[in-house]
Amino acid sequence: MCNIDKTQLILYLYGELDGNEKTALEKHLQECPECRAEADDYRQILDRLSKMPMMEPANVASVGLPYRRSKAMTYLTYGAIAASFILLAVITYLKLPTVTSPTPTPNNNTVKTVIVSHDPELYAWDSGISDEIDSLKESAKTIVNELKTSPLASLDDSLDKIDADIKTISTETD
Amino acid sequence: MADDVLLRQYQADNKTEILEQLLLRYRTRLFNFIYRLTHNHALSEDLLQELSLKVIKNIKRFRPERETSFRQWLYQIAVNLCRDNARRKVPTNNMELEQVAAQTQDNRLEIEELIAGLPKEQKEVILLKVYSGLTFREIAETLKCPLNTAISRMHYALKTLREKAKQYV
Repeated sequence: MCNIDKTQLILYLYGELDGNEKTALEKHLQECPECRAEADDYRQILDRLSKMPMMEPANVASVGLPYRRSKAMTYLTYGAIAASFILLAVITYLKLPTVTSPTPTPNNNTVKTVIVSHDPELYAWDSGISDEIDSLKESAKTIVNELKTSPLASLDDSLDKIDADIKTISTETD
Repeated sequence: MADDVLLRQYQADNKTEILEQLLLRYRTRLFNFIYRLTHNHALSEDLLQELSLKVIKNIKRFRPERETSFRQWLYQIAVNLCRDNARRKVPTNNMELEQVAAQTQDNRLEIEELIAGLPKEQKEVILLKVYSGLTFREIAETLKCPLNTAISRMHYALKTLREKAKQYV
């Protein structure tokens, strides 16, 4: 029965023996068939251990780190939220029926009320910005047309006439 | 890039990607180490997640030059988690071991079963050697036991495996 310190054999198998100790053990293994057989068997076991199948954890995409946002990302997020609120406020303001201040007419005191938007669809929150712009364009066209056909158009003509009359009177007075 | 270089980068820049990169290096091996100690896939996933959280919590204070290597530190946490879990007496799932064995077509299943039957202390040493690649000195530090104890546990484990393997043949 060999009385060698078997811890030396283990260290040797893993290459963790110092130079002198390694040389001494190798010499012993040459002389001792019992230790040599043991070392060979251990080598085989270590080889089989190294070939055990590797299993992957289920979620290979992540190492399980909780999401931590950077400062820049935080500012960006808050900025985006603030911008969304501002945009929402602007859209809401534009969608509300707007009443212009009454336009006094010198001759018959009629009041012209202009509704910017009549379209009920514009109250839908999910309407797109492009739809919004198109609708505003339509509203602007309507206003222009209404102005053209309204008494205001004739008022302009009257004012022009008055201007011309004033000029004539002034010339005659001079 | 070496672990300690990445570690210093992370401690300086606090970039999560660097820490992820570091942990990804060891994730699979750590998982296999934990699984072969617990024999429960879902539990191993949970313990791996817990390990990541512990790393995140403590990595700012971790100083490899004063303490251990990052790799050794990871396995130290893994060992402690498995030991805590064993104390809580969460039942192990032998069915999973059998399933793994059934899926394996060669004699590798045999070695898995043999390892599962080893005493816990021997299993820790042998699995640390298989998965961590730490030296016996580092393993002794990780397990907080004398160097000779760590080597002896390995010797007894190999001796048991050798005897049982002969019975199988």
